[in-house]
Amino acid sequence: MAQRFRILRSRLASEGGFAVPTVLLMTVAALGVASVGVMASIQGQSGTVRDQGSKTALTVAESGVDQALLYYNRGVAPCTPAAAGDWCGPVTGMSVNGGAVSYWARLGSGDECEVGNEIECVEIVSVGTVGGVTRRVDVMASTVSTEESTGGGPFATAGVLSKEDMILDSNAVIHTGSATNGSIQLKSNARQCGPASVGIGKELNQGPNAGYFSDALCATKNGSYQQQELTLPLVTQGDAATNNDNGRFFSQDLISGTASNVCWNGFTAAGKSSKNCGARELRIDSNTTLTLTGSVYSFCKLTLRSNTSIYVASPSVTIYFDSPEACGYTSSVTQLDMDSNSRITSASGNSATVALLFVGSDSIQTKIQLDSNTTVSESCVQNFVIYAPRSDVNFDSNTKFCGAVAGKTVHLNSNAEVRSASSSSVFTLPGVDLPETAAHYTPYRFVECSAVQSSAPDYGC
Amino acid sequence: MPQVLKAAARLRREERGLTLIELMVAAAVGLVVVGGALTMFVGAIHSEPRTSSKVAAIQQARVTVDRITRELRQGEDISTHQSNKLSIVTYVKAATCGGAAATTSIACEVTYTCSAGKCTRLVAPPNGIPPGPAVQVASGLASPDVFSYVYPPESTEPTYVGVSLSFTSEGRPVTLTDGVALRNPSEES
Repeated sequence: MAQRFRILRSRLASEGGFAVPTVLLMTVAALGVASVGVMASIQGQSGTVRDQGSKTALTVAESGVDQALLYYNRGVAPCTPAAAGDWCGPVTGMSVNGGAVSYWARLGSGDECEVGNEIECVEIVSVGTVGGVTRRVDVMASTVSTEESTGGGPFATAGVLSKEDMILDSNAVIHTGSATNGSIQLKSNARQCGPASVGIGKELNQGPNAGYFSDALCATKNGSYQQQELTLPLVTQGDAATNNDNGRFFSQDLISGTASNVCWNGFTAAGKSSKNCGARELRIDSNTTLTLTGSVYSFCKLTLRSNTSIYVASPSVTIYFDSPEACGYTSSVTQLDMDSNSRITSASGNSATVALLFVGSDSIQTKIQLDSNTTVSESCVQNFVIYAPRSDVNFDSNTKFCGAVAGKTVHLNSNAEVRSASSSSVFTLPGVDLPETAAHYTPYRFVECSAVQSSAPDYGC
Repeated sequence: MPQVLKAAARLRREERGLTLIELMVAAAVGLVVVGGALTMFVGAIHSEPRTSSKVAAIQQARVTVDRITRELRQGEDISTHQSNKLSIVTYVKAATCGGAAATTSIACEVTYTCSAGKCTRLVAPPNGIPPGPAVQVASGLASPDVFSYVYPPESTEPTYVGVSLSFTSEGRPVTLTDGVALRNPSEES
């Protein structure tokens, strides 16, 4: 009995029995307090996580559409349907943001494209899944013709082009878009008024008081420019060197002024031998005008001096400047040289198309020089083009050029000014057949679909 | 050393209980600790409904913002772009514009109008007539200026729309902000 009493007394004296429940009670109380805040926080953050998940899944789904369009725009279908107009897929796309993407696609035409005038269209349904969140999108894209997708000609997006650097000096102004494979340097009060693009890794540099504007009127400052590769196909003159209208000089292409001031092919228009011009070289001096009535000419050199002009009376004219090798030049040559108020213009009221195309050379430098108040104008409403991808083009001393120009290099100096003729954007290079390109699909309808997916890929879209 | 061992052995053997004073002090300390914990617990329990209410309000606003941004994302032509009103031709899953829900999308003009602390949504055919009923999609807004716009250079057609819902929950301001770039090109572009 005494033993049992001692044991009971011992247990009552022990503090272990109080410590454990007290600690447990405090722990539970603390957990209870903390859990209220934690639950509220989790509830609040779950919405944020869901938003992030849905946006990421949407991005992944859209990446599937982009991947499918890349296939079609390369001219390769990402999958093969059982029959024309059927859905094909699912195609497992490249993983983006750690998500999974798959897409279906089908080609359509005419009324299936839902909008008029489309040649073909493609519908793509893409499913993106990230962290258990799924989003589906349905995108329709239609084709544009090859001509539209390539822009139709070298001057479709810019009126001044150069394969290498483009330099504007001393108050020179370009009132149209410019594009170059090199850099654009705007020095001393020069202005580029129109969107510009430079070569990959190149820059548009602005000197003191120079300005870069987004519009042709030089009204709105521009702070950005593109970097992209520029391709200028070479001039292909075909048989123009031998089959041309040079023979019209001077029986049909008449002179107004002094015949002795015009020299062609080693002879003046008066029929006398002259050292002022060589083979296929045309030189006009002092207050004399030549009217062109043919459509194709082949020159080695054209020189206009002191108030002289060439009027183009024919509906269109293409003047080819042959290569320096074919012309017998062994060193640097200026193939077009105009100065002192000389002009090339269309006859009044005639919507002539005038193109000066320079074959050029990789080994012998060829130059184009417009100086001293020369004007090459078509009132900015007709095609006028200087296309010389292997020649250096210089505009100097108050020269006003209205049209489009492409050169190996382009240099404007001393108040020279270039304006774009609206119609020059559709100029196409004769003899150059652009290779057939794949139809280009451009999205025109974006719709998010419901999460429920049925047998038809576009169900719920 | 043997003396120390002896004292330790005696302490181990000793089974003397707590005195009354010790018990009272321990009980008082325990009451203070438990009382403090209980007060915090009760306070948390009382604030939980307020927190839940705030979370629910935020969730409701999220749904509204999500709906607006979704319709903006697939929109193609914004005819009205004001800070408190936006009209856009977009795709709506309905049989007819303003009619019953359907599984396929059709182009409708959706107009969001925010004023007097609430926003309504009106669905109409793209030609604007006849409109369906306006439905309230948000309430308790602190400001009717919900929409903001980003315009490309030299254009009056926005290509990016920001959505910002501001409201007061339990006396504290809450603002949900989102934005979306329009995926479908405008008919004029």
